[in-house]
Amino acid sequence: MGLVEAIDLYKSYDEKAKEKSYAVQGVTLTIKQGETLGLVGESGCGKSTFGKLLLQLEKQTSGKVLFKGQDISNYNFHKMRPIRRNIQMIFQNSTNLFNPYFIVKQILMEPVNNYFLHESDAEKEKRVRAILHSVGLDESYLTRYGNELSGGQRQRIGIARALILHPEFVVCDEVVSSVDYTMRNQILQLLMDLKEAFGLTYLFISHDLSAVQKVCDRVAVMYMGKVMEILPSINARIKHPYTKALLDATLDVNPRNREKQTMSLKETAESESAIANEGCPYQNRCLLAQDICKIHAPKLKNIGDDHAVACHVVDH
Amino acid sequence: MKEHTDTNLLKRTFSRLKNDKLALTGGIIVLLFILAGAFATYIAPHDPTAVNIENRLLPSSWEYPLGTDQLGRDVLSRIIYGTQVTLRNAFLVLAGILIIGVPMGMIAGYTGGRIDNFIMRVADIVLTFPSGILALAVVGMMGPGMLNIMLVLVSLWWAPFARVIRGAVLKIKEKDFVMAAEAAGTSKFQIIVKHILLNAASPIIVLATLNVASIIMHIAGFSFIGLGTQPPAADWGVMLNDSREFIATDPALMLWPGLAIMIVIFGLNMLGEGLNEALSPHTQKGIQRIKPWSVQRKVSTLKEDTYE
Amino acid sequence: MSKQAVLSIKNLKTSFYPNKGQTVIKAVDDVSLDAYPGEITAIVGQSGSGKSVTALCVFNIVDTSGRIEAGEVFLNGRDLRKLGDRALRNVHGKEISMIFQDPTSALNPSIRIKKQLIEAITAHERISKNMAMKRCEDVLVRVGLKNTKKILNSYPFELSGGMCQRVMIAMAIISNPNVLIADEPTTALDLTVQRGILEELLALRDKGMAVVLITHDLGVVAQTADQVYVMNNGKIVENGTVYDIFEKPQHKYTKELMNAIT
Repeated sequence: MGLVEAIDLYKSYDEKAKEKSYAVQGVTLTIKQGETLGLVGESGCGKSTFGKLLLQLEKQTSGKVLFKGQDISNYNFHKMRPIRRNIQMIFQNSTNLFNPYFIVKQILMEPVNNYFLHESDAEKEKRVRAILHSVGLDESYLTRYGNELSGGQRQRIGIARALILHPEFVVCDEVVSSVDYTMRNQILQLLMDLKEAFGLTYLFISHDLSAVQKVCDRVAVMYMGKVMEILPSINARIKHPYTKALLDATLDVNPRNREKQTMSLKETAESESAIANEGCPYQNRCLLAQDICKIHAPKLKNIGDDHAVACHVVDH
Repeated sequence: MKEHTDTNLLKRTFSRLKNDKLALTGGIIVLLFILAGAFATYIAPHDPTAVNIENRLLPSSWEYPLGTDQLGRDVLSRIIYGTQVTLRNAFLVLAGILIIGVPMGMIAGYTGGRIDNFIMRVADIVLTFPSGILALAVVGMMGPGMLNIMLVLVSLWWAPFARVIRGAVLKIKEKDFVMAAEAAGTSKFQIIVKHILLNAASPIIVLATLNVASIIMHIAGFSFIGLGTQPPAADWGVMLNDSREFIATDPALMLWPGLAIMIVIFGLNMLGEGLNEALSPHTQKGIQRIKPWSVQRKVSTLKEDTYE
Repeated sequence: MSKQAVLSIKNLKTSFYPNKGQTVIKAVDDVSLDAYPGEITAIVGQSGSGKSVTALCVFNIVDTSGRIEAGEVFLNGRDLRKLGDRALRNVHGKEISMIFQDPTSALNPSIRIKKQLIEAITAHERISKNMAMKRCEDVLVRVGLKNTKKILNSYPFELSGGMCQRVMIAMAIISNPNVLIADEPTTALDLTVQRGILEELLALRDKGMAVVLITHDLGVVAQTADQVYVMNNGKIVENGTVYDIFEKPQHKYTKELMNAIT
C-alpha cells in the first residue's frame, strides 16, 4: 500500500466536455512512502491538475484519492482538516505565490494559526523562525513583502510555507522551472536535504527532465491527461516513443556535442485538433503509429520490474 | 524600494498619497468640506434659514461674505449647512450601496454557479432601471423627500458595484495564494476576508470614492428639480433651484452652490485617482503588445522584483 | 577579425528611474557587443540581468521610465540613435527584426495570419496583392512550415505554439533583414518543439543572417551559439566563443553558471 494513491481519477473543468478533452483521464498511480516520484510532461498535459487532485485542492470528476488507505476524495472541510496538514504543496514560482498585502511573517503564520491554536504567540513565532532557518533564510526576511524577494528567495519561502506544518507528503509543482540556473541546484539540494530531515515523500512535477533526473526515484510520464509510461528508475530503459521524444528534446549543454535534429515526433497543428477521437492520444505525433493505435487506446501494461507502459507497439 | 517596507497598509497608503500632489490636493479639499459640514453650527456666521426680507439680495460684505439670497438669508451659511446635508446624505447612500453591493459581489464571485447566475441576473434587471424615472415613480407614490430619493439610489446603485466586485473577486480567486491558503487549512470564510476582500479592497475604495461624487450630483440634481430636500432646508440643489429666477440680476447666487458642487466632486475624483495608485500593492505598468517588424510602442520589461 | 560587424553596440548605458525616492536602476551598464553576419551571437544571463533591455535599446523602445544615457548602436555603419523616428521605422523590419518569448500573445488573435504577414510587408514597400501572397507562402516554407495555404488562412489560436513562433520568425524575416534579435524564442514553447525552432535559427544563420539570441538556457546556447556574451547585473562579464565560455570560463560568475549545469 502506498502513502498516496490515485484510483482511476478523472477531472474535467467543463461539465459538457467530451472525455477526450478531460484534463486528467483515468490516472491510477501509487506513491510509496519515502520516495520521490517524478511526473513529467509538457505544459497542459494535466500534471499540475493531477497534483492538485491528490491534495484535494481541486475536486475530481470521478475516481478516488487514498491517503494511507483512507478515501479522502469526498471529505468536507472538517474531516479534511487533520489530513490537510499532512499533505502540502509547493507552488510554481510566480508573482501570485503570496498575498501581495502579506509580509513573510504573515505568510508563514497562516498555516500555524490554523493548526496550533492553543500555542502562545511566542511558540508560534518560534516555529516560523525555525522553518525559515531550515530553508536557509534569516530573520531579516520576516518583515519583507513577497514581491520584494528574488525568485530564489520567493521559492524558499514557498517551501517554508508548505513544510511548516511538517507534512508527510508534498507535491512540488514546477519548483525550479522559473528559477535561475544558479539558483536551481541550490533549490533542488534544499529539497533533498529537507526530505531527509523531515522524512518526506515527494511528487515532483516538472517538464524539466534534467531536474527530474537529479532528484527522482521513479518517473511517470503524462501525455494529454494520461500516464504513458512509469519508469522504475531513472536509468531504466525507456520504452514509450513519447518518453523517447521528450528525452531527445533536451538539449546537451556541451557545445562540442551538437547533433542534427533527429525527428522523434511529428509536429502537428493546434493540440485540440490533434487529439484523436479514438485510440491512442499520441497517435498523430507518433512515428511508430500503426493501425491498431487508431482504434484501441492502449492500457498501461506492466512489463516487469515495476515498469509499465501504455503502447501497442512496444509493450513487450 | 523603501516605500514597501512599511508593514502597515494604511501607513503605506498615506505615505504614498503624501507624495502624490494631485491626490493630496483632492484629499485636502474633501477633508475641508467634511470638516465644514461637521462643524457647521460653529463655523456658519448666521442661521441658514433666518429670513430677513430687508436684507435681500445684498452683495458680499463683511457681514455677509457671499451676500444674501432673495429672502435675505446668508449664502455662506447656507452653503456650509448645505455641505452638511449633502455630504451626510451622500455618505448614507454610499453606506447603503456598500452594505448590499459588496456582499452580493463577493458571494457571486466566490461561489460561482447558480448563485452567481441568480445574483447577476437580478443585478442586470436592476441596471436596466433608469434612476430618474424610478425616482419620479417613488416620489409619485410616497411624496417628495430626500429619504425616498436616497432609497431609490441605494436600490439601484448596488448593482454596478456588485458587478465590479464580482469581477475583482473572480480574478483574485484564481491566484495561487488563495489555493495555498486552502492548502494551509484556512476556512472559506477566512479566505474570503483575509485574502479576497483584502485584495479587492482597493477597487472597492476607489469605486466608492468616485461614486460619492456622482451620488452628490444626483442628490443635488433631485433637489434641484424639487424631488429631494424640501425648502427652506439648506441644500446645494435647493439653493440652485431658488436662484434660478435671479440668474439675470444676481448670477452669483447660482455661482456659489454650483462652485461648491464642482469643487467637492473635483476633489473626490482626484482623491479617487490617487487612491487607485496608492492602494495597489505594487504599481506595475502593463506590457503592451508589440509587432516584431515595426516596433513603435514603448515597452516595459522592468519587473519590480528583478533588480535589487 | 576581417569580418565587418553588422550590428555593433558600443558602451551602451540605460537606466530606469522608477518613482521618486527610489534608487536609479542601471539595467544596462556599459555594454559593448558585436554581431557578425553568418553567426549566432548569444547573450546569456538570468532574468533581470539586462539582456532583454539591451535588445530593446537597439530598437529604442525602452519603457518611459527608462532612459538610454550613453552609447551608440551601429547598424550597417549607421548610428541608430542618431536617426529620427521615421528613418528608424524604415530600418525596423527591413534591416533588423525581433521576435519575442511568447508567440501566441505577440500575434493579434483576431486577425488571420495572412493579413498580419502582408501588413509586415506593406509597412515597408508597395507591392501587389498577388506578389505579397507569393512572398508570404515562400517565407512560410522558409521557416519550415508545410500546408502554407491553410496556415495563411488561420487565426493564431488555431495554430500550436511552435507554429506560431515559426510564423513570428517568418514575419520577422519577410523583408530580409540583416539582423534578427530573438528574445527567449523557445522559453514559452513545449520542449518537443524547441529544437525545431532552433534549427530554423541555425538555417537563417547559414544563409548569412546575423542572429542575436537572448536566452537564459545554457542548453540552447551550447547547441546553437557561435559567440557568447555573459551578462550579469547589467554588465557583460565575459565574452568569447562558445567553446571558450563553456570550457575555459574566466569570470567568477561564468564559472558559477558552468558549475550549475554539470
